[in-house]
Amino acid sequence: MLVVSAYRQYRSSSEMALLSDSTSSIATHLALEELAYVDVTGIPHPYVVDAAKPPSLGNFRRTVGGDNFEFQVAVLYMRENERVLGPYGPTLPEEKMNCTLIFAATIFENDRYLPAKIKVIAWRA
Amino acid sequence: MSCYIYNKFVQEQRGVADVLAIAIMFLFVVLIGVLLHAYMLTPLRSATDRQLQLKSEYLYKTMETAWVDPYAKSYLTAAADNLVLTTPTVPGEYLRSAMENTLGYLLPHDYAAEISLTHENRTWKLIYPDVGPPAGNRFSHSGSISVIRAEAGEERTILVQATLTLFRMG
Repeated sequence: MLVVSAYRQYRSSSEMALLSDSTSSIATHLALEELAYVDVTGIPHPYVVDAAKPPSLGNFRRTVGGDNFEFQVAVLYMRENERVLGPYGPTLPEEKMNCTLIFAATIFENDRYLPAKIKVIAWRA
Repeated sequence: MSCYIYNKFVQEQRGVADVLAIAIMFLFVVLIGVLLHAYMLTPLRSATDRQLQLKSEYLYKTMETAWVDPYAKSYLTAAADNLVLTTPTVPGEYLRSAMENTLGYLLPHDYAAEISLTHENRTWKLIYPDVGPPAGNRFSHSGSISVIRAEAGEERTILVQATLTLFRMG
């Protein structure tokens, strides 16, 4: 019983670690490429989110290390009061384990670079 | 009589061996259980540390790219200006206040940040919330900020080393 219980918890812990790393991978790809602001000369600005891009993000399914994941994304930022873009993506399933990652980023809106937070919630598809 | 003694002797020998084998197996199972319990959180702790390292990098990049409102200058560039220029664009006290407000919004719960910029013998430092120097696990990201300084009619580019350290508040 002791060993079975420990093994189950070890598997659960490893699964959570895998989900955490996969969420980081999805978040990094979003911040550096998919949501990155591209200026008028065509130069991309990684770590800077274009305020117009999150609503037009169409695909919320990613494959990381051979495993399929789905995610929601929201961008929060301060402009007098807190504003929230999103969340965009499928509804969060209640019965599945998920990982939430909130990290700092910059958002480009109305010709200004504002501090923002990106919130990504990912789960196994 | 002799047969009875012989059988009893054999049965006792087998009994001791069985008990020893069962005891060793039991100890082995307990040991595996203890080891699994001891190490089961290691992958999760490592994953948490990797996420904090990522958060530290993104926080540094945010301070490098986001502008100090209402100026058109990033937080780290403004801090570098304060370190090397005699008349920086963003006043020092205003910059510290704005940076603290922004860090208060961006920092993960229960974490503090130390931002330090160095050039030659001079240092510009901010710890927010001000809980003293970092202790325990530190997650740092470094880079360099360039500042243009006018010297004797010429413009000179100065590189300032910047480091952001994320650490858990005690």
